Amino acid sequence: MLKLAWRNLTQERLRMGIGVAGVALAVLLILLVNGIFHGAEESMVTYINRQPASFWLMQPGVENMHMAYSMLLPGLVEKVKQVPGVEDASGVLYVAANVQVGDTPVPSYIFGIDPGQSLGGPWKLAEGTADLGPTQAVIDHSLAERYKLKVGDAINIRGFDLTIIGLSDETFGFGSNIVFVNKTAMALSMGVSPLAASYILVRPTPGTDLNSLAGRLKAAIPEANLRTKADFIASDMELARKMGSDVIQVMNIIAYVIGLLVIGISIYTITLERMREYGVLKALGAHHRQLLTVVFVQAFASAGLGYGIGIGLAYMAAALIRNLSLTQIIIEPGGVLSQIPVLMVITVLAALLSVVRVLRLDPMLVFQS
Amino acid sequence: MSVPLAWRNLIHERGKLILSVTGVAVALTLMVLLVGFRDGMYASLTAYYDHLPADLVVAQSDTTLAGTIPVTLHDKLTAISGAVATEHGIAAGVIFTHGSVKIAIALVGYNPQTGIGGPWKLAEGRGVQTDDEIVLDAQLAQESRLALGDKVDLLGQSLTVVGLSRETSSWVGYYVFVARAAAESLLRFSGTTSFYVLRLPAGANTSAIARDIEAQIAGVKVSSPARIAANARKSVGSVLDSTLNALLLVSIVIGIAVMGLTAYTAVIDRAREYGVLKALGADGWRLARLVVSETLYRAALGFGLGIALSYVIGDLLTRVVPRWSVLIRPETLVNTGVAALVMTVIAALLPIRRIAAIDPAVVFKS
Repeated sequence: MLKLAWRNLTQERLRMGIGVAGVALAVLLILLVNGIFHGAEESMVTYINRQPASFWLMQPGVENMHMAYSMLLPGLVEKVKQVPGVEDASGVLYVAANVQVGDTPVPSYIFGIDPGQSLGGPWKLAEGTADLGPTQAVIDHSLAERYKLKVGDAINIRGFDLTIIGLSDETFGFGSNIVFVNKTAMALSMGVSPLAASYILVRPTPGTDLNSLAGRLKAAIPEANLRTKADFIASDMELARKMGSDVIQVMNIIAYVIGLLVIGISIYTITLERMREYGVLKALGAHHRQLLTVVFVQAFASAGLGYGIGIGLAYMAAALIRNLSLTQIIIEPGGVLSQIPVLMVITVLAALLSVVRVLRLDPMLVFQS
Repeated sequence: MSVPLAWRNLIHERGKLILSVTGVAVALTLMVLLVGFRDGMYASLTAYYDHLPADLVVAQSDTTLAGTIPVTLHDKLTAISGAVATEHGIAAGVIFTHGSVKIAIALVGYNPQTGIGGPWKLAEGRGVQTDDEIVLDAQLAQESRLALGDKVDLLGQSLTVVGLSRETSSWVGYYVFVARAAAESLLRFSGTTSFYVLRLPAGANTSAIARDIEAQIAGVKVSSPARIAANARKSVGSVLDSTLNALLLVSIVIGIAVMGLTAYTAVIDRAREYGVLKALGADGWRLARLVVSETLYRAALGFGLGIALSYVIGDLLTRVVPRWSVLIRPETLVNTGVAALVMTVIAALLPIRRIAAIDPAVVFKS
């Protein structure tokens, strides 16, 4: 029966191809959507993740960085530095704004950092320097490639022309492009004191007990909200999931419905075309179970092939997307495997229509012709 | 002749007709909804600018209202522009957290005395009057289980919900309104504001006034709300378009493949009837016309059902999650309809060779 099912399937290669391609495209859609959102989640927390700061201070009531606004009063950085167990602390200004590249506004996260500060700046440079003067900026090299910018070119942020002096790496993602500028210049453009900060990054002295340092920081700076690095990352990841999960679910449902339709229709077509053969088998005494095996094997073979090709296509598309610097995309084996149970259910559902036709088939019809 | 025959052929087996029409309709619905979701996303993105009662807006950039410019420009702007009304407001993106809800919002601080820049449509309650009051988007309030009179914490301060607004949700979050003084305190603005709104006398030359302001005041951009809206769309598009369009393309290819497959199946399914016609003397051209006619009927029925389904599901989605507005434009229906029609007709013609090869004698054996 397995052989028969395979022969049935492969005899009409075009139709089989359409069915398999449909499943593959549906799988591609699911994996790409998930991959893009996973990539977005990761890129959203890259900045916090890559800074060597165990603690972050922010405005009370604020617990995020992504799409958030925080402003701490001037003078707190020096106060933090006085707390025993703090090796270094740096304040950064942060705002979401558009970087104007020619006619195109690119939504970005702008970080104002003081030249020479050990925390808050770019952690990996692809080119140039990060020693930022008042009219200078460091942008991501992927952004530079995308808009054909190089060191020495100009960009505009909130009406201020800035010269690119460095290209950073790992600072470009889906809606989270990071740009570094001079903190004093940024403070002036925001109308705040150069000593103010959106966030204060704290690096403890090696060997310091982090729990007791957290207690000392909370006591010394009651006018700020203290978060550990892990808490801060978790908070932004939670935000990403809450804001993106609805979209992912809808896109997945759409892709699943498409997969269901494609497998269902292609298996139904194959079954219809082979109705006479099913009738002969039935007349020869084949049990319903054997006939159902043929239908299900065809359905699962189409789905399995489509699934495999879909995974291959997804990895190729992800590589292409990364090469073109469109966005960060992460396709994890766990995510790929998690689609299998849903796809199996869909395949069974898709085969049911054909099953009904086969079960109702009257073997006598075969002998009439 | 072939038209009534095609129609009779179709309705003869209603189950199969329903199946093929549903296949086309569902595939079409998926494509229309995806495109509608993208269009709705862009439309809702600019809702605030679309409702801002202003001829010109003065801000730090011409892409967004969020930013900081001196709060002392009021009189100078009025003098340069001859505005009949000059107002300023504050806008910033912040995170709203309440219970299990955590979402990005656009916080807008407006002058409660004039109401300019405040909510334009209230579902319940009133606009803010004091610094400890807040107007939430009605959907955000519902998600957060908040009602009029409830207290909500924002940026470390407690505010009372006094109004629930409509049309203030977008796919990236919600608009939330407080008094301007409250926004200054929450965002720690000192001597700065985000934007000015200018209402000019009738017949004023807006372009000339915009140029004059930019020439006389450094560090500001002067634009119409429509221009800011267009730039905001462009800004989001620079991030989203390539990815979203790639996903749309994949979806549309799949949708068209489903429609093609449905049409192909429907024709194959009727091979016997075509054989009968051939036996009765119909030539290949006649059969092709019949197949195309039947396919067009199916495509038209599927198209009609697909449009109806798109509107119903789109409306349902918008009701369930209002920040996902699904906007179905007439051109979307035309484009997807044409693509679907071409694909279904091609798919229907594929098995013609096979039908043409049917031996009419076989039909009479049964």
